Amino acid sequence: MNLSLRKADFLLFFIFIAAALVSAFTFPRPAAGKEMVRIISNGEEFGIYPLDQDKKIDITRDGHHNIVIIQDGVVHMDYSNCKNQICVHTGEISEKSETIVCLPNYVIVEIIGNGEEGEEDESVDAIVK
Amino acid sequence: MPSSNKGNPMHTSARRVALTGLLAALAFIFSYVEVLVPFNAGVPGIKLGLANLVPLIILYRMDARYAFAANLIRVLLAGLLFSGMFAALYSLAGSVTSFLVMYLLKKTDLFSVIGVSTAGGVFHNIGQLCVAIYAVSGPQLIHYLPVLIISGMIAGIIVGIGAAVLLDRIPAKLFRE
Repeated sequence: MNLSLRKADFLLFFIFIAAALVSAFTFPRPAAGKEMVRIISNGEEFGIYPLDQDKKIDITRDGHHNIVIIQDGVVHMDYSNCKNQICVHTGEISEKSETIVCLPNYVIVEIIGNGEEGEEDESVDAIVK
Repeated sequence: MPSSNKGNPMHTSARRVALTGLLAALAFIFSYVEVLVPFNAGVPGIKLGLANLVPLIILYRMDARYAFAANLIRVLLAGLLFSGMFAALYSLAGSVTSFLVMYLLKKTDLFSVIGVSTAGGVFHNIGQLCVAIYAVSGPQLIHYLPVLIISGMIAGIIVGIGAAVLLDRIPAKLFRE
C-alpha cells in the first residue's frame, strides 16, 4: 500500500502547522468578557457593569432590597427581600441575553454586549445558522 | 466500454458529458453519505469532506477537467439540496480554492496523495473563511483561521489516506476515459 509520505508532504504539514500557530498568535480570539451586566430597577437603568470584574451591587428602592453579585464572569442574585425568591433561585447567568428577573421588586438583571459592534446579538446569524 | 480501445479513446462530447455526469453522481453520493452520518466536532463548519475523495482520485487517474466539472456539479447540487444557498456559496468557494491548490500540487509531482489532500482540506477551509469574512461576518472572523487550518489538515489527512488506499486497490484500467 502506498501510504508513504514524501519529503514535500512533511514540509507542507510543517508550513500548515506553522501558519496555524502564527495566525493563532496574530489573531487572538476576541477577548472574553466583552459582555456587560445591565441592571434595571423599576423600569429605569440602575447601572451597567462589566461581567469580568467582580462586584457586589446593592439595589435599594422603596423598601425593596436586592443584592447582585458579579464574580468570576458569572452573575447571580445573592439576596432579595421579595417573597417568592425566584430571582435568587435562578442561579448564575453568564451568556449574552440571559436574564434574572425579580418581579416583586421590579428588578431585572441582564447580560448584554458592550455595544462595540452594535447591540445586536451576533452569536446567531440571521442568514446562516 | 467495448468500443474504446486504448490509445484511441472516443472523445466525443456526448461521451464526456456522460462520464462527467457519472462522476458527479458518484461525488454526490459521497456528499449524501456525509450528510447522513452526523459528525460533530463541536465547532461549527468542520466536517470530514468525504466527497473530496472523488475529485482527488479523478485527478490522479483521469483528466483534471473531469475532476473539476464533477466537483462543481456535486457542490452545487449538494448545496442546493442539503444546506441551502448561502452554505452552497461557502462550499463553492472552498471547493474551487481547494481544487486549484490540489491540481497545482499534484502537477509538481512532489507530494503524495495524502499531502495533496491535506492541502486541499486546508485550502477548502481558507476559501470558505474568505467568503464568510467578505460576505457575512466581517474581519473579526479571522481568529477562526488556526482552528480551520488544523481541522482542514486532519480531515485532509484522513481523506488522503482513504484516497491512497483506493488508488492502490482500484484497477487503473477502470479509469480509461
